[in-house]
Order: sequence, then structure tokens, then C-alpha cells
Amino acid sequence: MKRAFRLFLGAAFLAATFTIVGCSSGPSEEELAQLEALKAEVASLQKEVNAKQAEKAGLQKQVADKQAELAAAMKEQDATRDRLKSQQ
Amino acid sequence: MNFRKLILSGLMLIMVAAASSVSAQTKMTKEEWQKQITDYTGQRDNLKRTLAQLNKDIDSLKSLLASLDQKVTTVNNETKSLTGANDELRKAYAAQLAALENWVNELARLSNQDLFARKAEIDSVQAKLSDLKKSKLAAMQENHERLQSLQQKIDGLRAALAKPEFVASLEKTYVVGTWKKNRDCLWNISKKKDIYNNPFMWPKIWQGNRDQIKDPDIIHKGQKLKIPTAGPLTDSEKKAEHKYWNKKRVGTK
Repeated sequence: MKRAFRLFLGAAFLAATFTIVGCSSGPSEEELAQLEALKAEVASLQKEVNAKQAEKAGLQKQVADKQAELAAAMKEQDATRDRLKSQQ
Repeated sequence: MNFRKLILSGLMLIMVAAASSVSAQTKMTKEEWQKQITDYTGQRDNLKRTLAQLNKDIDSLKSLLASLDQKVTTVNNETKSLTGANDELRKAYAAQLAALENWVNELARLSNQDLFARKAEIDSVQAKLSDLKKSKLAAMQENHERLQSLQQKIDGLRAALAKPEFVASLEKTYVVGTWKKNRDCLWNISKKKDIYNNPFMWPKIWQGNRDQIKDPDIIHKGQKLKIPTAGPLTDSEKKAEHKYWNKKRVGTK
């Protein structure tokens, strides 16, 4: 009887220790919310970065096209000058 | 005994409660939370830096694009001003080119017979094209290309007219019938509406078929005669006719 009671006390102490240690080492609700907010911010920023990268790629293509257009316009101008010279 | 059972049951309950409490807390430890906070903070800072750089790049690309656009407009305006023509003159010139293109395209669509009949128009088209080429506006790229294409088409029409197969395709033929039924002789054949509509053109048929007509008074049923292109008698045809009549005169004397 006495022995059983001691065993009970020992187990109760052990359980209490586990519980206390377990509770004290985890993050609080506030900290968890802070982590979730940070995750959401990262996801949102990643989305924005992806959109900006697409916009940049589009602009780079437009610039390349415009540079080609400028080169063609300059070539056309030279050819027109040459033709006008040969007309004279 | 009962008391012992009670204690054992209580003990088990406590163990289960403690175990579940520990397992609940093993979802995330404080260290893990801290690690994730550090990781995500680093990611966020990197993304913010990337975003700032991207915005900078985009602004610079937009500005470059606007500057290139301006340069293209300037170069195009300069090119236009080289000819000294205003928009109205340019439009008028383009309209003249379009009219000439229509004319040439119409000629190109004609059958060989019709093209041959209108071959004088090829010279008219060439004259107009030469006039257009003299204008300063001919030096403009778009006009230059259209003029070149027109010249190629006109050259093509001329080349087609000169091809032997074209000339051959123009040649008509006539199969001689009988005197009794068709009254076919060179005079009557020449008189036919679909031949020359003029009996005096008979020497043309004779000279065009010297290989099979020795005496123009003698043609045979079934002979396939070439009908040369209509037109005034050539010198050689006139000469042949003259010889024929002389011979006749001598023969009748």
C-alpha cells in the first residue's frame, strides 16, 4: 500500500515535470502569430518580385525591339540619302 | 486491493496526460520557432532588396525605352524631310503609284491575245514609271520598293511578249475545207471575219505558209494553215503579191 502510494507520487512528479518542461519550451500564441505574419509577408513579396521580373522581361524585349527599329530607321535614312545622291 | 487498483488507474491516467502534453508541445519548440523566424526574416529582407533592385531596373528600362522611341521618331522625321516633300505631296505620289500598280496588274492578268493587242500600253506604263522615278520621293524606302516591284512586273510583261511560246500561242490556224462546200481559197479565207476580215490580206497567209503553199491558187482540203498576226502587209508580202500578179499577167498573155 505504502509502496503503491510512493509509486503514484513518483509518477505524478514525473508527469508534472514533463508538462512543465513541455509548456515552457514552445512558442507562445503571439510568437506563432508573428511567424505566420512573417510567412505571409514573404509569400506576398515573392509574388510581387515575380510580377516585377515579368514586367522587366517585357520591357527588355520592348527595348530590344525598339533598338532594332532604330537601327532599321537609320539604315533607311542612309539608303535614302544614297538614292537621292544618285538621282542628282 | 481496490485501493491498489485505483492508484494504478490514476497512475496510468497521469502518464497518458503527461505523454499527450509532451507530444503536443513537440509540434514546434522555441528553438525551431526562432530558426524559422530567422529564416523567413532573411528571406523577407532578400526579397525586399530584390524588389528594390527590380524597381530600379524597370525605371531605367522605361526611361531607355522612351529615349529610343524619341530617337526613332527623330530619325524618321529627318528621313522624311530629306525629300523636301510635305504629307500632301507624299500622299499624291503614293496615289499615282497605286494607280500605276493597278494598271500593270491589269495588264499582267490579260490573256496572251489581249496582252498582245494592248502591248502599246506597256510603253505607256514604262513612261509613267520613269517619270515617277525622277521624283525625289522615289528615294523613300517604301516608294523605292514599290517602284522596283513595278519595274520587275513591266520587264516581266516585256519578256513574256518576246518568248517564242508566247508568239506561238498568238498564232491562229485554219483548216482548209472544200471549194464546193466552203469556197475556201486564200482570198476567201482572208475575207473571213475571224481571220482578217479583209480579202486583200491573202498574201499574208500565203507567205506565212510557204512551206506548204507553193502556188497560192492551189490549197488542199485538210491543210492546216497558220494565220499570221493581223496588220498591214510587210514589204516581203507585198513583193510576193506583186510577183504573183505579174506572173498571172504574163500567163494570160
